[in-house]
Amino acid sequence: MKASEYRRQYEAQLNAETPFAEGLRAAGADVDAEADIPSLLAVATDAKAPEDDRQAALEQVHAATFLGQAFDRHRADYIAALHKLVTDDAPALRRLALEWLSAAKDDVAQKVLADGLKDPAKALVSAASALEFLSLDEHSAVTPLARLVLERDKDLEARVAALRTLTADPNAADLFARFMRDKDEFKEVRQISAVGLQKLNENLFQKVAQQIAVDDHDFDDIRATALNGLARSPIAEQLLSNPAVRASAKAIGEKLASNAFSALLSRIKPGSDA
Amino acid sequence: MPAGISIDAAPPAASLDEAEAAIDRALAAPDAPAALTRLLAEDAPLYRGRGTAEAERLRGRVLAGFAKAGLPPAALPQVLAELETGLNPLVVAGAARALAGAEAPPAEALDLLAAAASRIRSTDAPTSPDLRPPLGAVTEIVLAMARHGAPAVSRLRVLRAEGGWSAAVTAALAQAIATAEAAAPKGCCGGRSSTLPVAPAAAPGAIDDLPIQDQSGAVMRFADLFAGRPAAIAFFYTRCMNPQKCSLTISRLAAVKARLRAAGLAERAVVAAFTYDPAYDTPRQLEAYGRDRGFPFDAHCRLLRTTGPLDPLQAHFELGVGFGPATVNQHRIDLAVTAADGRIVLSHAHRLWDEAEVFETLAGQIQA
Amino acid sequence: MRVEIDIEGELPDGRAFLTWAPVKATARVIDGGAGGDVDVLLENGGTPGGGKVVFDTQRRHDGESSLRLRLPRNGKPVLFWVAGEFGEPSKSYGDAGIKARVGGAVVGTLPLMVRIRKDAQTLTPAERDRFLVALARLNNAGAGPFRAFRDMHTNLSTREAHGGPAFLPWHRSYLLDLERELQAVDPSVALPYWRFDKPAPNIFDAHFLGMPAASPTAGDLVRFPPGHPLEHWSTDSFTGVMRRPNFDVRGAPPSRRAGRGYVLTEPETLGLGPSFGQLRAMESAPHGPAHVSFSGFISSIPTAAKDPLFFLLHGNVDRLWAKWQWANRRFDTADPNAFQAGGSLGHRLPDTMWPWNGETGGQRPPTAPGGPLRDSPVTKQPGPKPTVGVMLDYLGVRSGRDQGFAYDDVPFEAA
Repeated sequence: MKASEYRRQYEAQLNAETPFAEGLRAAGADVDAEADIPSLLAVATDAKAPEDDRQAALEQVHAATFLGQAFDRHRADYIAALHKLVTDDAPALRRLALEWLSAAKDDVAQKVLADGLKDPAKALVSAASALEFLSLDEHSAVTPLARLVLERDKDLEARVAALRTLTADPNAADLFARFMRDKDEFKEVRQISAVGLQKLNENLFQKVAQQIAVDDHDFDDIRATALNGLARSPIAEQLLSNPAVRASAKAIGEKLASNAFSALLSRIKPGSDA
Repeated sequence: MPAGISIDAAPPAASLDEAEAAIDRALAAPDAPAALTRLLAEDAPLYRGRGTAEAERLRGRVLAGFAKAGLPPAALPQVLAELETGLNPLVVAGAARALAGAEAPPAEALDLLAAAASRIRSTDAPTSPDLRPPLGAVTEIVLAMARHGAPAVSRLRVLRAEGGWSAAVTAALAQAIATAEAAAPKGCCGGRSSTLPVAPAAAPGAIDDLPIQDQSGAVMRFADLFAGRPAAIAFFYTRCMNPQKCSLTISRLAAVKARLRAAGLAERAVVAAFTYDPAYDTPRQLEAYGRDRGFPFDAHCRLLRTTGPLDPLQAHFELGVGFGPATVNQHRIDLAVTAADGRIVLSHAHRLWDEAEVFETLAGQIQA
Repeated sequence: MRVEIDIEGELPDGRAFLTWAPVKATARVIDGGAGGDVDVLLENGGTPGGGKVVFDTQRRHDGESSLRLRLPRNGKPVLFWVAGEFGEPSKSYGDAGIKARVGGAVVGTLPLMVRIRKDAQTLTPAERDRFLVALARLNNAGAGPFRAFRDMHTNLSTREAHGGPAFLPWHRSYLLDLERELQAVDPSVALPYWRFDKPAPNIFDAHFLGMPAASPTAGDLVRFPPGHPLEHWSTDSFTGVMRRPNFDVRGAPPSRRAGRGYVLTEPETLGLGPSFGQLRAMESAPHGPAHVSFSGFISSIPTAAKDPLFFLLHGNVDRLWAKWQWANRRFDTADPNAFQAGGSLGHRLPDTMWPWNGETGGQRPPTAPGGPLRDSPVTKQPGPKPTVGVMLDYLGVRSGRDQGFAYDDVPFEAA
């Protein structure tokens, strides 16, 4: 298309719309959210306001944090408001408050989450969420809590979150290997264990993954995860030149019918740069 | 068999109440300044097994305690270090308050306070409510600056001109400027504080047989790399969240190496850094971290880890580092320069070290 | 006799990539023998449905789909200009090309790619997967060069990139740096964008950037299927991406929230005003709200760059700026409406930008991850340490030299 023609079309399209500022004013709304943060925070923390209004107000304030230094003047009030919302009755607001405080490495939020994991009666969010929020700070001392959840909770999501969290603990490699090998485990558990194991101990991962990759009695999913990991390991070419491994990769790739996996397969060709 | 320390060996953290009680006891002790100073050590039992955020809140309380108890000279470098590189607003505010306990706060504290205010402005938080109604961390810093009297006025004005402060901070700045202008000029204060006196207890040769590994995976004894040459040895870890500390340390160490090269002395000294986190910081991690910071790896320039626990290294160099359940929770800046026979001739702690000073000490040892 | 075609900015292996901006090319006769000049017709040589090019004798917009040249038989090269035809991008390398004919017979061909940043919702599975595989290679489960990109966007660098006039140029440079790293892995990749004011269910699909489990109590971890390129994604001690939509992904995030503007539509964004000072408000809306339309990494500044979606989100932010620039003709740094003067260090037109300028300490952050801006075989612009100002004229509308990228719906139109 010619640029001049495109311009004609586009300008017509723009003119068909009411200019933004006019449209908002017609709707009785404010143009600039940032100027109004104190009143938005008041709505967010007002237990009597409708929940959706409160969440909308909170989201608007959090959107303003992306202005960086221009938000500094509101920061202390915002943190105080989030602290208030941690124990709010509305679960969605509690979750948002705890998440955004955790992203800021707030120790008050971290303590609340840790207490809830140690004693589920005190939990303000699910165990999976609590572990994830604590993982937003690599220094949050979350790994013993993850082990606790792994031992205590039967909930699949909580266990997956716990395993993901244990990737930060260098002593977890053997645990990951055990789960990765276990054919009776849920596929999500085996998958997260495989991914974690490769991060913590590449050599052990290669050993376990090779066994699984060529095991026709194991599930396609874990074999795919194993092959995916092997393909990005430092000795991928060498591993993938093993005929048994290559045959598995082909078979699994065909079953998955995934473009991404075929991209993986294309790296198996001799001389390809893996 | 995974290498490195078993961090699980660290005892689980005492309850937070017990930790707070320990601080209360120190505050009430007859030798409170000394008791509080002991609680500043990064590996104090107070912090063991805790996450960083929790440990730093406690640290902030300890620091703030010096305001009432008095700030002894031994604790001053740590207070200034927190102002120089600290990122946690509670710790920085505590350090600002601590200066109130000093008889004559050094002049350089003023510059450090101003820089700290800019550094933490985007993470400002309400500070501990237990000693007075909660203020924000930046407000605490402003108050600390005002205590310097007239010299603070120009720096306070510069801060105010930065703009974008909250109403509370703006009011505090105005008040502080008025107070400082009205104050009588204080007696002159000291210049830059010196590094800790060199009195390391470690015997040279004590860790000669310690097995270590470099970023390429090569394993060796400590003496294989370090014996017979002076060395600059720094400490870091790849999961450090404070770019003013570990990241900057490695970049600056690279600069020291560059100076050695320029002086034709590159082969005559070793420039190296050890990780505090040997279990997690595998050779691959070390290599990537160094590469990202332009660390010029060669035979005498490496990033290292112990293949066993960190303890022998930690004891030998008297490192200021504490651990949570899976990684470091606090650490200070540590750097040592050793002579060819392994004696520690310069032991730098807390503050940012000066490249030129480290280079000159090394050069001096080479020529010795 | 053959005709050899060369395009400026070819890769060492001979592959050529075009955007909408015209680049110099030459045609010359090989083994011409004796005699007068040869009449050569240059035309499109790609595959059906592939990218198309247009030709011209000067650097102008609206070129033609064929061009007649007279080439001397002695092999002296003759200059012409070639560009991707607006609206006809490639889908894979070689689906576009130039064909040279003499008297009806084909005497020369040059396969190439019209490589364009596209709406991620419209990518073919092959395009999508090439992007994901390249991104995964760059990440390398946390050990790869992506680390530096994550480290560039944290609390300590906030001042460099946000809340000031250089917000848009800084992020344009950031995306270009990442895109070039991707292209070093696979040159056929261009950064797609998330058109956040329209539904994009293809993006939030298990085969692309994924979705978390249905219930919020399950946590926000995105579930990549086994074998997915991002299965091993990691940006710190942990793995995976935390992301949960705060809206129904069959639609788009709302343009209004709490009675105020939220994820504004494209016309509303361009309607902010014809001066840059007015357009800058897009940092407040729709940019901030787009981040917050999801919970998880992308919703806070210190964690946002851990999610690949960040780069697609900012691709759209940059496209909106580019669209506004084209609509209002704002490529000239001397035009007071093209930028806003009076910013702090790093936010003024002549300032170089951190981290590519390597400056640390003082008013800059303590370290500068990643080094200089990645170079490209295709163009020397904008240089390793770009200034704020040089990022405005990315298509070389005024400067005559482009930076090697373009958006599918923002054309090149000469000044």
